[in-house]
Amino acid sequence: MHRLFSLVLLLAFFPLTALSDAKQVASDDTQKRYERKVVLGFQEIAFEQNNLDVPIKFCKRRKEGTTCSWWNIRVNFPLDETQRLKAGKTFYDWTITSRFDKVLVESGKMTLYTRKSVQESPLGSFPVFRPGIVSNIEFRANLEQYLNTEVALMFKKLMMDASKQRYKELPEKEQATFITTKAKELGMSANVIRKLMNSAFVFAAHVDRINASGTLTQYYTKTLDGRSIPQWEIKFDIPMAVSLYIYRFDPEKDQFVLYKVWQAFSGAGTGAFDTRTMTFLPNAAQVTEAFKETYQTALKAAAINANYKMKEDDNFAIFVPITGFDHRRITVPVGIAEDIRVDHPFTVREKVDGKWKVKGYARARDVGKNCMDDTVETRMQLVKGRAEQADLLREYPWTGLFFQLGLGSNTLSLSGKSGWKDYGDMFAAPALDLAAALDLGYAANSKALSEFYISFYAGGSFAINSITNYGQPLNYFGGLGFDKRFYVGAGGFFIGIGGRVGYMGGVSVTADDDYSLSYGTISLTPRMQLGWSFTPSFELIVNAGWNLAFLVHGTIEQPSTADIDTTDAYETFTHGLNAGITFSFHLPIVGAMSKMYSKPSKECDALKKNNAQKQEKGE
Amino acid sequence: MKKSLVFSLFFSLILMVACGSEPTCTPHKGPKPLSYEVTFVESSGTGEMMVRATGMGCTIEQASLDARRAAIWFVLEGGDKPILKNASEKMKAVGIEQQMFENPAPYIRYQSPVKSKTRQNGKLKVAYVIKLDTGMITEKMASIGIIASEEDLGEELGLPTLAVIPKVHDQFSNTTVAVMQEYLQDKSFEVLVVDQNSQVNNLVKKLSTLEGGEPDPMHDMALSLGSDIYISVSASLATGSAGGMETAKASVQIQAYETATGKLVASTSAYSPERQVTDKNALIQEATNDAAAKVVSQIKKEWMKMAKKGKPFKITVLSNSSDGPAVDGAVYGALKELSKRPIKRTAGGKATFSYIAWIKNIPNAYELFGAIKQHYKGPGQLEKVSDTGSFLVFKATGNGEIEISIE
Repeated sequence: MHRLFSLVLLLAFFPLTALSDAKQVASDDTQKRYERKVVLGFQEIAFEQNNLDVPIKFCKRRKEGTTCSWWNIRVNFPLDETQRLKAGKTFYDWTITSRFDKVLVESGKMTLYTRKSVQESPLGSFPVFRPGIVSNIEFRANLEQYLNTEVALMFKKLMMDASKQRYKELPEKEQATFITTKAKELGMSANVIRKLMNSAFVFAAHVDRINASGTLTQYYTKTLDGRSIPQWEIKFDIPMAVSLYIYRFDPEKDQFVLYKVWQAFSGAGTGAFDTRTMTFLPNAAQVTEAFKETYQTALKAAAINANYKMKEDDNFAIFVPITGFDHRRITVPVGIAEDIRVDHPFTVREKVDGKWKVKGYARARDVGKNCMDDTVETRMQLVKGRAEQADLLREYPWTGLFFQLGLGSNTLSLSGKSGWKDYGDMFAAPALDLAAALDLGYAANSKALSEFYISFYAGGSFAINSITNYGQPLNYFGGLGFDKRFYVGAGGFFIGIGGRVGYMGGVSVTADDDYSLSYGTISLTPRMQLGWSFTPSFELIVNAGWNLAFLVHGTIEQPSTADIDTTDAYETFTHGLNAGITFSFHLPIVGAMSKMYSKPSKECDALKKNNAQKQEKGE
Repeated sequence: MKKSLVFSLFFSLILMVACGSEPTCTPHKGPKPLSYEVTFVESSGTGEMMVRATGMGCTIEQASLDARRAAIWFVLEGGDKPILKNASEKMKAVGIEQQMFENPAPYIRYQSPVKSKTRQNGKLKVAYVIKLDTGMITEKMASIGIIASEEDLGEELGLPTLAVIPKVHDQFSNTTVAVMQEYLQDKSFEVLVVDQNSQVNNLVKKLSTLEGGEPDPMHDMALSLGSDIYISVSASLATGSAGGMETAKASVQIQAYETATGKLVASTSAYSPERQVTDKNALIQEATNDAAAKVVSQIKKEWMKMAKKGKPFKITVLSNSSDGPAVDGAVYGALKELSKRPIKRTAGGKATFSYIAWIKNIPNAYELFGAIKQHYKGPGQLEKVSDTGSFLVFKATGNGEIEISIE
């Protein structure tokens, strides 16, 4: 009885104080988690020009060489509405990705798609913004005028209406406090409201002046029956710069304020994969088609560059603490709802003695489908360094594309038949090897293609030993490579297994220039790589492989007489060493490689639309 | 030879850079926490406390355990009002404390995900928000007799009877009263309810008039109700704006007074965070919860003092002008015999007298009347008029009637 009484007394008097600042239950910057931002986007992007005046270069490729001259025709390409709408969709698909809640302005209403819900606000008779064909300066002025009139107020109302839903979707909420357990009232704190209301942006793009050019090439190919037939090849290069204007909504002033302007670039050589080949001189429609294709490729490349730049900004980059770590396997509560792609790299960070330290790098392997379910996680692999639970991951801006500079040896030795001397070099042929390598797992956002690299390479080598009558052979090569990487341990090491398929040729000239000998092979080079990823932007790779080549032609060219076909003078199968060291540099501008990128995942958008339709039907 | 040397050097370099050197960390092995970094967050319930605790260790698991230990330590020994108040209790609790540190799980109601993680001098520092079952910890300590000294106090005085009285009867003050009453009842106090229809009784009114001075309606109400301590509450709400949305912040002021003496025993103000709510009473609730926790803690301190030094009683004696002086002297003498502390005369006329006396070992006015009767050596018989809480009124006349009329 005594004890019970005493207990009652003690319980009654136990000293307690209470919450006066909701910040005390919040995480600090070491456990920062990406909080979804709202982005108001438009259907169309603005253009500096409504048509492009494109000069075309006409080239003739002959045996003696290629000669080019500017055509006397300049092609004028009008940008029709379909083209403009397609351009807008491509660009905004890559910039307003699923990591954002989206506001769409349609006639009469403004709709906010949050991660799990849809909120609408009437817009009255206010028109939809049509950016049109304007200069950068005019575009900005028009945009600001549009945004800072009625739109701002409508936008604010929509944001207010959606704030409770958005609060529910925040990664971190007040938990287990008095207000959440006893008062039974959501009761967002002022800090949270400010955070939600200050996290709204507008993305609006303007395609700057373009200096495009085209090349029409005529050349001859041999048919199987030995006839030479003409071919025409049309290709364009549309290097493009797009200004992406980002405005931030200031809810205190009811205004959109310029936050940043990014210039996104497509890079050069955008038409490399849009070349059209015909057996006759292309007509205007065919040229236009080729142009349109390249235009969209260039725009997509610029959009990918904008997406890359967005990830450099802490406001838009994904931050997430590690929730699970087990022997290089990391789990984090993000996924396709944050536009995480397969092989997406992240830095592992920790605050050590007050300063941020990068401890390592991880890559996404199995991206969680977390559109509607917050508990679904993404699995990552620690590829370099150390990590532990609660370390902070920061998205690493990346495109998956590398420029590779290789130094090494690339050899072939042709074995001569019946008196013909061997030709080429087996081991000592210093080579320069240039390549563009793309991680298909990232580009295609495919788990099946994770760490599967495709490369387009070209290079040359020359034999040190003068072992033929024709001097030192100079080899050249080019083609396509495939490598699958396997990361070993957490030192950044990887082993690559793959190969190359391409054309490898050579030419050597006698000392007095009287004769030259040339050959060509189709080569297959199985190879292994031993690489080290210093950072996701720089790698060092040691390659070793063996060239397996099949001779397709051999020729001795003499100045005054007909060429001699020496194809049969050498063994058809030949081989040689391919080895070297490659320095791999990440490229933020993807150019023509943009063709190989799949769009950011739309799975969450589809789910949202589905849910919205159900809501409308009252299901 | 040269090639192999170059390759060896190259790979050695790669290995050295890749592996790096791990900073050394020595695990903490003592029974007590390594970190004592704990801050109050709130009292989320009557038997629960939420703290933000930081743990240290070589691994996240060690740091997490250390944070839980630090939270337990905070309840037992840290903060403003630890369960273990003196060296003797701490000494007695060493064993059970160690058990709690080794297995803190039963005392933890909620542990948040990591709120902060840093590394300092090679050691991890990890913070969590932890909700502790303080009731269970206290029960554990009481059940094994570590905090036995509290028992006597509880036995002697019991819990005070409290009255919660709003300064003004507006919506928010009424909410505050309701929350306070709920809070106090949760803690097993006897709470006297004051509503808008409650009236000060005529006797108190009359005595109050006789005593003169500034009338204090709340004090009179408390006397009428017979509380030991009365709590006056007021609440207000300030509105603001965040991100263009209307927000509000509640503030609550609470004072507690001894009913007998009118002495202020506790006073606090508390605020809710600035929030956007549809029902602003939620903010009043939140702020009151904060204030209630603080003020009850102060009341406890005073009540414990009373147990040691004597509980105050207001005693009013009604007599007439002929017996008055003798009655006054006799009652005063009786009180002097019951208390070593000075007796305070608050009002004294020819026929009515009021005293305040601090008396040990007597829990209520009823028993006090019995004790006074035993020690009374004045004229006539004592006849009790009222014995509510700490307020005793009785008649004492040798001949004739008392001179004050009581309805």
